[in-house]
Amino acid sequence: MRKVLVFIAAIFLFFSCEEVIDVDLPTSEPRLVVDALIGFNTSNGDPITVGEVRLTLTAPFFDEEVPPAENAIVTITDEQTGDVFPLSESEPGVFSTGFPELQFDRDYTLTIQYDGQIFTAMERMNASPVIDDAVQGDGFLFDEEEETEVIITFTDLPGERNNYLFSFGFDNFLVIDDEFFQDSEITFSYFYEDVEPGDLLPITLFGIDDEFATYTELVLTQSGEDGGGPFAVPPATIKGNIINTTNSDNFPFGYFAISEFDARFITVSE
Amino acid sequence: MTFTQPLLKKNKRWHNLLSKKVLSLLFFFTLGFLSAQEKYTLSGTISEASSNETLIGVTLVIPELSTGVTTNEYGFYSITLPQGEYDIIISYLGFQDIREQISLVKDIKMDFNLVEEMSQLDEVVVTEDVEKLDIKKPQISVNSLSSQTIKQIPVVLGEADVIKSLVLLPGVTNAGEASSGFNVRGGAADQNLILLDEAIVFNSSHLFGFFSVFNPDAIKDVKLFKGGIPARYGGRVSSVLDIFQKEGNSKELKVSGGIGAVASRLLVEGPIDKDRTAFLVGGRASYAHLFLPLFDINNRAYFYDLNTKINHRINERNSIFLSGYFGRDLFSINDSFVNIYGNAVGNFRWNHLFSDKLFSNLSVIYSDYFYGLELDFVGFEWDSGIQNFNLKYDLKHYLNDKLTLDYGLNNIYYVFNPGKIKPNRDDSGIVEDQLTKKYANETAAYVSIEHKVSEQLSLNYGLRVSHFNRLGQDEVFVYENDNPLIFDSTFQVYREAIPTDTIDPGRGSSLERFTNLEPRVSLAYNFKGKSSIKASYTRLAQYLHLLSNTNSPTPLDVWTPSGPFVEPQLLDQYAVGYFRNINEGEFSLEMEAFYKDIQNRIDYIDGADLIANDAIERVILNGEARAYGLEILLRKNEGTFKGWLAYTLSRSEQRTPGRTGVLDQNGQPAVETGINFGEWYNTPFDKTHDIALFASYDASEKWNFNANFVYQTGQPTNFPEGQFEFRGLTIPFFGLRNQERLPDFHRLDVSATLTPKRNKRKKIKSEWVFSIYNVYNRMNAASINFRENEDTGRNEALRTSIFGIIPSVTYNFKF
Repeated sequence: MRKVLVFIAAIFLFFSCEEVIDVDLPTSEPRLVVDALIGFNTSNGDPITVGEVRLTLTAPFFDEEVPPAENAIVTITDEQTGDVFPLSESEPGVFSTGFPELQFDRDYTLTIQYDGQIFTAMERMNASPVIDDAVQGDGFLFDEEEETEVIITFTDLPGERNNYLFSFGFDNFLVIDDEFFQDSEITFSYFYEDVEPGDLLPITLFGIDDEFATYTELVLTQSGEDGGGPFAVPPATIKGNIINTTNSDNFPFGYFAISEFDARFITVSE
Repeated sequence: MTFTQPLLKKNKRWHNLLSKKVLSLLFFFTLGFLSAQEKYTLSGTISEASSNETLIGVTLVIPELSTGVTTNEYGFYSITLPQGEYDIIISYLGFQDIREQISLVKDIKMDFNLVEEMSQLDEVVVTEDVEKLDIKKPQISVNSLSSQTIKQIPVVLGEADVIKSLVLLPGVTNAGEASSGFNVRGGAADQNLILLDEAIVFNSSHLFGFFSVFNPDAIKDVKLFKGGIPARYGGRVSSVLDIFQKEGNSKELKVSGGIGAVASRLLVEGPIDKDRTAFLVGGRASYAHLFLPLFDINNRAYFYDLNTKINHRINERNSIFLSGYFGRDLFSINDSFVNIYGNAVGNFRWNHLFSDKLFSNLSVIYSDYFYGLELDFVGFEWDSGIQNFNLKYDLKHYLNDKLTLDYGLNNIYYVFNPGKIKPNRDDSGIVEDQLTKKYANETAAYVSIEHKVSEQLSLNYGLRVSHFNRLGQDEVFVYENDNPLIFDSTFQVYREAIPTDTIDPGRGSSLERFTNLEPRVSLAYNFKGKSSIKASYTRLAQYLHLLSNTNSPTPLDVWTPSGPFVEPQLLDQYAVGYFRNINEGEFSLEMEAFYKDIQNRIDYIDGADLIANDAIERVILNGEARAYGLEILLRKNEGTFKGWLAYTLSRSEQRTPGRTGVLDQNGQPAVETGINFGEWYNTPFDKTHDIALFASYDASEKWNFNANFVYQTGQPTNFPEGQFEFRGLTIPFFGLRNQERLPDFHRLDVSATLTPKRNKRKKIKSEWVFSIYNVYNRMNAASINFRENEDTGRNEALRTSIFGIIPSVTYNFKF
């Protein structure tokens, strides 16, 4: 429902005027940022684990890049067996190999040693339904020329409250909860902007928990998705699920989540 | 016996003392009655000669006794004086004075008809201004605007606008262009009580705040109380905006209207039964596709509103009024997104005179705010709203020329619909759901006394007793330890608790009750009628809260009643002022200082999502707010050049400390951070400096020029302390709340009104209004957003501004 505000803000912006301006901004000490979404899928028969742990540092807002946090030691612990799986750094700050074979109903702890401090987070894997259908449609919201409709159908996991994260590629995300379609099949439209015939649209559905859903909503809102204007919600400090066990005041940003996922690919036609 | 005797004696003494006190009190009140042998009452109604429209706030002065009275909201006046011969003067802005000699040897009923003044430039016009300062009255912190002034103030796209005009008064600001609502003395928009013909209006804006919902043609009188709020009002802690609409012309059929750049207006009024029954129908509609010209025909955005009124004078003692308001806004984008919202108000009133001295009004009001949404691409419809049934009985008792008594009762029953969702088509996967409706009843009784103690000193004191009963509803969440909001000590964040159970307390039960005593006192002391000092104390309770964490309310914000987890807001406001008429009232100077303090002002935890939130208690924290400031208003009331300069220096802050004695997520006592670590922080309505200038110049019979200038300190906002990257997105992060400010807001608007010479044979009167909004094209920031540019990949600060320079023409007519 937060999206509704986005629409109203969008109407608003039709008759307003936007301009890039210079602003003096406050600064702060760099903090560790952890981007760790680990995906799990069994649809091809064999279970596969994909994902990476990406470590960066915060930077002043107008800096062009954020620096990687290099030379960390990253492990994942299976809390049931006690096995520790060290991950290896494939490029500066990025750890993408060495994951264990994931199981449901099991606690996994991510441990990061960086700059003399220890950061940890413990999570379980969240289940996901499959995408029943994803097809291109010919509808549009604002502009027929620029928009491409994709109609997506999936069925809510029965018997519980669920949250889902859709990734549409090109840094486009959508968080949904099942409050208004519990246990039933839901069809909705997503509108891509500026995609060309022949482009490949990767659509991924992740099962996520309440906390990660809230976190992702906030991240999306704050990344400027909601357009601002007088209806802008006051920004918040978005704290994730990772604790600095050495010095709790120096909390890191980011999140560690494990999700079952399903993916579809659509090639844009005329 | 011997033991009890002293006791009895003591008791008797007590009794004596008590009865003496009661007697003296009674005596005090009945002074008028006792000496009434030689006193008689002059009473009646004052109206406009050509239409019989009653006039509010007309002054009737008896210079000999240097006393007088003003007409009430229904044009009624009553004054009781010693037997004698008197000269009386009746005056009102824009009307010819009436001077009459009366011989008061018995009670007299006298109605007066005032004739509109055809202002001639070459003659000196003595006008008594409705907006002019009455320095003797104890009423403080009130501003009046006539519909004439409202129409003169240049506004965007030439649409005269009540709320935009209010912003030119001291102590009143808004969140910038195209923001709904207004802020009074650092208060939030939901703290304003907006009354239209005594009915509560919940949303005062069209098109998200571009226009207010009040049709300026249908308005008779606008009063804004910023402090010293009389006991007859209650329910909102910041201000009362009391708007009365015209009743309708009972003499002849009149049509007026206007054609503007955005909307057109038409108002028809006339007699059904001459001098007794009149009707008024006013309509206003914007042009469709208004703001979406760049897009194709499938997009619509428009609003309309309709005002209707019938009044009937049954006899000298009884009049009835039936009025209705209906307004809607509609947006639709390609039929995929449809948004409709608006107010509907129905109102029946009965004026009854029990005697020459006792006026009464009974109002029965139904009002409804509706918000509807259809999102076809997700497949659902959404309805929400608030309904209320309001019964009001107000009496005004003119005891004598020293004492006027107001008393009355009020009962409001509310039904809140936070939202109902249903599928909009057969193939939709949406399951129909009704968020639990809430019910409440608010009762109040008040008495207030206006007391002229001496030639110099006037007092107004009163008491309002309000009682709020949050009624039972179908579902109530139950939380562990009765705590809906859990502080997570590990991450130092607040998290929503998961309800442990849902109970049905039954609609007949009461979830929570609140009772508040709200004393109101104000006094005025005048020095030779030229200057005065005034002071006031107001306590007010507010039981309804608009859930909104945006800078300006959105139409889909939901009102919620006080209840188990939401305490009523309680205000204490102190104001003192110095008032002076300069040069026989040609100029007036008003200076006021105020301090106010509000308990139980809620604020929202970081990242609270209020939309369709069924359990608001899980995202709010109780805090307090305070505001203080100084207001100066210098006015030129007469002549061809009129206007005012208003300056306000103020501060508005709030504080939301962590709770104590509440357990954290592990069941341990938590040391909570609150919001901003419990320190005071600026509210989004804190504007340090606020300057408004309005000038109107009658250059000739044909031309009138107006200008206004506004300057406000930029509104508090948040700038990022840095950025981080997550899932390929660039995310700005922020420090404490409201530490930075938008650039200062300022703007100049001008307008010219051309009234072509009237052709004597033609009945039609017309005028052209040419206006330029934002003359020097200042790009005022409505907001600054921080985001990554999708094309360049670079981070940028993006300023959104709403209106640049906008010229417009409006044509108004009357016949």
